[in-house]
Amino acid sequence: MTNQAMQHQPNASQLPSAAAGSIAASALSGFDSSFLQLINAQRAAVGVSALQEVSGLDSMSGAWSAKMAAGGKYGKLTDNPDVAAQTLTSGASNRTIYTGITAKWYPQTVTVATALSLLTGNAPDKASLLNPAYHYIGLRTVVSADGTSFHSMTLTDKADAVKTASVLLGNLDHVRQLSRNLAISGWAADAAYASTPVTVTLKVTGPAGVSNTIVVPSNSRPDVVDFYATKGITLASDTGFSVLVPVQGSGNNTVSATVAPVDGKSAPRALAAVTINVV
Amino acid sequence: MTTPVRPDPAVHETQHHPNRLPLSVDLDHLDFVGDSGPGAFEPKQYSRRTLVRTAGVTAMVGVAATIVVRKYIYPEASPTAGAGTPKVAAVGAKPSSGNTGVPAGTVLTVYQGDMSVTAAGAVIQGLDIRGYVNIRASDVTIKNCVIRGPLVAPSSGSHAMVQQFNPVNTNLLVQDCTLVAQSPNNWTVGIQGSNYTMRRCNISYVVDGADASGLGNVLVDSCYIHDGAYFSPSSTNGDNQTHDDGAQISNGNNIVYSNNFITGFNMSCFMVGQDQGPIIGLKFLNNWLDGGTATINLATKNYPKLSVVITGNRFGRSLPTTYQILAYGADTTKISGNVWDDTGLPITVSGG
Repeated sequence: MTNQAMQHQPNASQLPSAAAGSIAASALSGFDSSFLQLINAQRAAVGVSALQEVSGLDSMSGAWSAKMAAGGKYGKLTDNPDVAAQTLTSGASNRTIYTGITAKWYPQTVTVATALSLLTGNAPDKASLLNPAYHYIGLRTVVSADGTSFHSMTLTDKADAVKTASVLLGNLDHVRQLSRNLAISGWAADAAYASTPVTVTLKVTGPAGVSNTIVVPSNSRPDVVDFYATKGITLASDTGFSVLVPVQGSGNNTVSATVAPVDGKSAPRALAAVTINVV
Repeated sequence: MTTPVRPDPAVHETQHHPNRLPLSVDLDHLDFVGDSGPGAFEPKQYSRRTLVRTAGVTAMVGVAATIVVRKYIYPEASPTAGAGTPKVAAVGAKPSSGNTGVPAGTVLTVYQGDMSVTAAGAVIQGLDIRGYVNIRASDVTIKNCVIRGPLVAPSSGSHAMVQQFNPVNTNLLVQDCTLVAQSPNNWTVGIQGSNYTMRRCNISYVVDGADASGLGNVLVDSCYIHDGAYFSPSSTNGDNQTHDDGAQISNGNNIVYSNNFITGFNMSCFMVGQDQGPIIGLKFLNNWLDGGTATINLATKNYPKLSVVITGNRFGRSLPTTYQILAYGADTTKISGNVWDDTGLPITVSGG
């Protein structure tokens, strides 16, 4: 007796979202967003290109601002001594030049323009802000419990291209019993990284136990390619897989498949599980 | 001038007569000095004189100004705040937001722009001034006003919410006023100059609170001077930060600060430095002081040995401080009876 389960129809929910840009913009506060706008306006006024925000540098700057803010109004304004090292792991691993700028003000009602005037009134800071060699920036203002604002920004000449988030597609098409094995077939791909093979973990759970098998799709699946082409998504032709995996005893065996993301940080995608009765 | 408190504490700004306002008025040549009181907000005529009354200015205002007449309820207004009764700090009462500044419930009229007062004996009251006030006459009184400075902060220079620099002008009285910068900046202090008395005022968000310079003849009494504006970097000083002080005394004779509560300044509550000339007859009496690298800093500099009467002052510990009284190069023989507020034990006088 052969049991067979079959599923196959890519659906709209499997479509990738719009591709992310090379530099991901994080959500700055309104104050910091205005701060950056004013900086870029001043750069534009002297013919210098706008600074582009890098979320990793935002986080790095924010961490330093928060550290200073812990001291409150009487906390000392200090430069981050670790800017050199931190930029390398904060979205600018390829930078060749960098600088850190800090400022502090009280009360919280100080306007963005006044805050920026502190920096442009300071010759070294002004030179950095208007330096055409800098193209990227991270910034963040943190307000201490007593209302004192601590601001930190980091400028670099280069920034890493941000990895596009994985868009995982796939389906567990067939599960059949062949003797004491299960013939499992399906397909999987990462639409954001079409030329990079994904890995699929096939888990079989039955009365005798659990097994995990990792496969790399390599079979031609022109049907999948054609289907997604109509959606404007290009996939590689070899997204299919077909393997034999030992059954886990007689009775119900459940096969689940999980696709690992190419970007290494997105959540894995579990494909719909299939259960067959092994005799 | 006060009116009964309205139940809604929020700011209300409505034009009295939209067909006439806002008004752009050249007040250069007005010589009217009227009184104030009930009805002062009710414009009766279209004359310049009435316009001045409408704005609540009972004095000649000597520069071209745009006056927008609007009803305004001071934000601290409260239905049970004792409207109409000027708050007077009782003898010995520690100044606070509750007994200084514009009395709660006072109805204010917004005055947009800087004001230059050139009429001797002028009385300015009941205004919410969105600019600087420059005194250019003697015997001027400012009472029950909020003074906020400009919306757009200056980027250089020296500015004061209220300033009286010309020594020929005397007897300025500022009382029951709130001086709070609407756009705090590196360049603005609360009050600056000479020949003035300030009582029961609430000053905040400025680099210095109440400065004395020039001839002197200054009395600052029962004021709450707090939360100084601070900036770094700052091009105003070599160490790249604001030197914010509760009061900075640069030169002059006959200067007294008494019964004030000064707190929240990074550098000092009283910074005394003979930068512009000798200081004679300076007294700090019965003030509450808290914070500052040196809460009182006496710097003789290039003039005769500085001698200041400092007595009866109480020092707080809520803010970090390094020195209570730093008096290097100064005469300390007139310093006595100054204690920690919490213990009553004597504070330390350093230097001398």
